[in-house]
Amino acid sequence: MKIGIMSFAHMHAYSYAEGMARLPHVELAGIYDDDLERGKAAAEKYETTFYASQEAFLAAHLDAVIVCSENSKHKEMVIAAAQAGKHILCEKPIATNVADAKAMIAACEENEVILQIAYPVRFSSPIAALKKQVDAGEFGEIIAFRTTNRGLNPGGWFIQKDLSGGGAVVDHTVHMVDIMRWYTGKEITKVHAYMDSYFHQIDVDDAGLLTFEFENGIIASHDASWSRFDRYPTWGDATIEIIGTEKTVRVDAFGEKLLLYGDGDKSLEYVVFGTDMDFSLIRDFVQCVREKRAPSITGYDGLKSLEVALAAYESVEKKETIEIV
Amino acid sequence: MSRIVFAKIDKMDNRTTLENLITCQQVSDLHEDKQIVHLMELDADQMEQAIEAGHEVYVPYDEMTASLLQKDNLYVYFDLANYPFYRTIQGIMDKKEEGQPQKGIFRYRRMTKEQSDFPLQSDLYVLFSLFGQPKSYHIKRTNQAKRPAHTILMVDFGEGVLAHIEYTIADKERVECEWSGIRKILEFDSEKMRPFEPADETALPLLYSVDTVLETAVACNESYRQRMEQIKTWINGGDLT
Repeated sequence: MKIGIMSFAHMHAYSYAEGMARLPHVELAGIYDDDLERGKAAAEKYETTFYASQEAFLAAHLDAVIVCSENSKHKEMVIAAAQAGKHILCEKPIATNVADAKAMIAACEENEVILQIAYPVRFSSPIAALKKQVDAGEFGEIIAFRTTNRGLNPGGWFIQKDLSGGGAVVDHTVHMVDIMRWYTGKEITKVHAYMDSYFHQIDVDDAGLLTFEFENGIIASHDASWSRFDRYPTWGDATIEIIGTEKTVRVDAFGEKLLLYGDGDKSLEYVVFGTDMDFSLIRDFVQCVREKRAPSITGYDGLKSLEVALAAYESVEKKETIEIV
Repeated sequence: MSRIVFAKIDKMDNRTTLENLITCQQVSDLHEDKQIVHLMELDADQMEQAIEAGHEVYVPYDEMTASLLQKDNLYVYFDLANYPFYRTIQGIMDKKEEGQPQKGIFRYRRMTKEQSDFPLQSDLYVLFSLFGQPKSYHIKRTNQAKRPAHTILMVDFGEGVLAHIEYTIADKERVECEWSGIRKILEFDSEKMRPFEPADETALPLLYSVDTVLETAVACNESYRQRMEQIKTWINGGDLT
């Protein structure tokens, strides 16, 4: 299977490329990047062809593409790839606004290509094990969730609103919203949020607290931030606690770790030995394309989680609870 | 007049108490010496008797009844303000960088067996003393008649401090607290940060001493009564006034 990567703007492109290299019968067959220097360097690193032209890239023999551009460019790239008949794995968030997301989904449906959204947290072993417990009804009635997704400030285009669509809240809300939707099969209908820039002198939010209500009455809290810093033992976290009538369980997607003490910049470092989620995501996407089945994480999943993140921004702007209909 | 601290005796850790402490069963057993602090198990009748006799009485917030609230020679104390972990966190957070406002995200979660809003009210009194008057807040609650019951209180304290304060009425006691500040992150979990394994061998992180009770207790006066009424109103979705 020949797969191309459209843009290395998002750092996940590198782990996806490395994941592809581990998969038998899968080839990173080309890279397109509107940043020529970055694209050429990546092509050299992964020993593949660099295309300076998106048109030429999409004309090449590729079964699928992975879009890792700045968020605001997802729409244009996904639609072009769909029109070229390529199956697509798109980095999250799906887009920076609902209209773009819907246009992307429509283009993929129209051209009968797969659109999968890159939510690797679903492939974490602890998160997947928790899903099994939910599906087995072990929690009784779920009454509440508590989730976090905190990390480092990635800088660069992530803190330019025109390219990213927002700061830490859009970057770090969609993952855990997707997990809660996945577990329950229910939608979030009410969002109330506070956010601002607390830790860095930047023009976008670097932290937000969000409170949700689902259509079936489940309530949830979410902490989305770039509050971690370089000397913290790890880049960040992705945690979820389920409070049910039968039991309460908490899971940390990065909880399978060693504690490494040293005399470097960090006196303590967490060395994660758990699932390589990015690799598992790529493997799933490849299987999906190979089997010509529906993606495990659809464009609609991307749209619904984006709606929640955008509602958080609207809540802050209007200083009120936003209802998602 | 004697000084009397009413408490759940098993919540007290008096190994390092500086006060001259005597544990009593009855108000009739009290010593007249003001240098002595009397520790008594929670008992509504004994409390009433002690107050009526004009003693200086210290009562935990969750034992405050409407009748006690009207008494003057009464001091109220709050679990959270007495926990050693909280006093340590407070000490670290008070060391603000010179000229730098305190900014960050505070997350607090308590699991409690208490079937009422008392722990929430009590903790809010303490937390509002640390962070100041909330600028705005949002509250979500599950059906409080069902178990477990969960409450999420989201607070914007203004001046760069946000908080998620959460309560689960369940079958255990647990307190978690986290402060994410500028290049400073504090984490506490009473379930994990225990000197015993298995953790349920000791209640140690959630014990406190008579010394801190005397230090942190608040006089039950009009100002206190108004403040608590305000907190109860907030919890029930009322306006910030």
